[in-house]
Amino acid sequence: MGIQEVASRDEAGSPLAYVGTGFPLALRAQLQRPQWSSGMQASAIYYGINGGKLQAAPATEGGESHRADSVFVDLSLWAQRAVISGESLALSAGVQLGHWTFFRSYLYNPRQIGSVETWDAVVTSDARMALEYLGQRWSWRMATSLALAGRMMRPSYSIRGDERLALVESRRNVFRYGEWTSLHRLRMVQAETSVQWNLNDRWGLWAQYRVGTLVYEADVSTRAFSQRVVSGIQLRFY
Amino acid sequence: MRRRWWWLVAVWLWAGCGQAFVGPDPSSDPEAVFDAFWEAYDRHYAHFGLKDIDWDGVYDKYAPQIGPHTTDEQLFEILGEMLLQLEDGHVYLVGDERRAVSNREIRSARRTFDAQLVEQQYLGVSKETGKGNIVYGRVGRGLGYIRLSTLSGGEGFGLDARGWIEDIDEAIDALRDAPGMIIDLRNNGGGRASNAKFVGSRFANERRSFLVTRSRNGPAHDDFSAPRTWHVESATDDPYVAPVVVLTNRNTFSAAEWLTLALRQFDHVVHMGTQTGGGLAMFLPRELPNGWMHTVSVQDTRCPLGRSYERIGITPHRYSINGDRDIDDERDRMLEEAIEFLQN
Repeated sequence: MGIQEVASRDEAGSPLAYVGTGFPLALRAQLQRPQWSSGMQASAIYYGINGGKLQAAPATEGGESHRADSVFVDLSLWAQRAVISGESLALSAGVQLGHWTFFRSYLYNPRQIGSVETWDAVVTSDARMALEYLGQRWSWRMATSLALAGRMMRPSYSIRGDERLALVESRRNVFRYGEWTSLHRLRMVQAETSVQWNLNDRWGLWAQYRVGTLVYEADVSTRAFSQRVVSGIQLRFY
Repeated sequence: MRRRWWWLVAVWLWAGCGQAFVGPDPSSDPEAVFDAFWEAYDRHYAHFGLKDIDWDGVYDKYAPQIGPHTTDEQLFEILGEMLLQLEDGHVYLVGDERRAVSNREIRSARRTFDAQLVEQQYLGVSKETGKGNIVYGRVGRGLGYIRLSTLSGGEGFGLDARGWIEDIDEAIDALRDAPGMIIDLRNNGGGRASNAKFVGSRFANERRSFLVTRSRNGPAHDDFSAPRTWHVESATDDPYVAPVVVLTNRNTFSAAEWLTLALRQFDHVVHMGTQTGGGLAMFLPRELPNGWMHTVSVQDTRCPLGRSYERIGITPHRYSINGDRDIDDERDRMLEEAIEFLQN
């Protein structure tokens, strides 16, 4: 569990930036071998459950902020191999399958008829680099990943046109409105640093700071940001 | 003390990162708000070609009236005037406590209908269902009467719509033995297209297309998505196929017009009353840099023959209207003519 800040400026939703805080549930698993490792991690914020209320800066003289409900899901699967390794320090390179879903539902005004839903749902193929220190009592990692290509799913240009009706018809239609893209339009970088403290052979404590940025340049562009600190217990198997 | 200082730096960095990455908000000065407002329509509004509107000309006319010292009241008035060029019932601007609409005619049509008058003067016994949105009973010599006051609310789509609209079956079943039925959509401001399809399916004896839609999909005024055809089809083994009159006025709007079009596809349905409101498009609420909210119609809608009803409305098969004094005289001439038509 931890704390997360998410921010968005999405031309589909508003010219204003929306920022909010949540308390994500996070799960991480890692398979460690002498020369390579793989793993996954996931976290989620869902409005009304563990945060996810976004807010624009006060935009009127009355000072009332506009709000949006959000869902943020972050999932990554990776595999990496040591390219330089010492006794306890290793520099690894690998690949990562990344995913963000950042859904937002805007209600600009109490008298507004119907909310405006926008989202960034992206599945990316990433290059990953990691620097790790693996000690007896504690270990430390830094990793960064860069999306090379991926599929970006966004609302259509009209946002509430025919496609909106099709979405009401079936939520699965969200996957119809996307495009394969790469660095020329999609720039997504994630970085993390984590510390593990081994209490004994099986149990330990774990803490992580993770930050990610997404920029997607299209007819209707979007920028999204996430940073979180999470901590929890770790269980080791041999 | 030194530790506290580092905490403050950490909190400041944390709190500022998100905003720093997504960048500062655009200026909310009058010129910037005006530009954002004009551009929202330029990029998304669907009816420039249809209505032959010179939106660049609108900019040229109004932009010189905006300056750094333009007050909120003046700005709101100017933006409201710009909206009048669009004559679109789905378009409005809300700011602080003010509201400007693009089509003033539709609202004034409300006066030509009085739901209480119908219940008191024409319906012997009336029942309510669908969370009060459906009123039904008998009029004339055993004819069925169903009034739908809205198509808003509920969830699900098409034949799976639920919330309150499924209660239409209760009304239809109660009136199934009627030799004819009036579906009163006057002053129905619309709601969900799915609810319109649901009601239409209760009167459909075969699958018919009733609407073709396209949405703006690019910055040019004629950038549109591929056409999508909407169908209405029976959802029951026993649709109501005795004569039906669908009754509309100028305040029958949006999804209620979808329903009118869906019902009109069948030979046993006659459309009576006055022209509908002429606003069948999906609309997009937008936000301006100063926090005001406005809406933009983003969809082109046409009947399967290619005719657009935007602004002009759907012309009934048989024209009928309540005069200025009819409602005051506690008379609903439109309903009377519908009853007379069905009884003859």
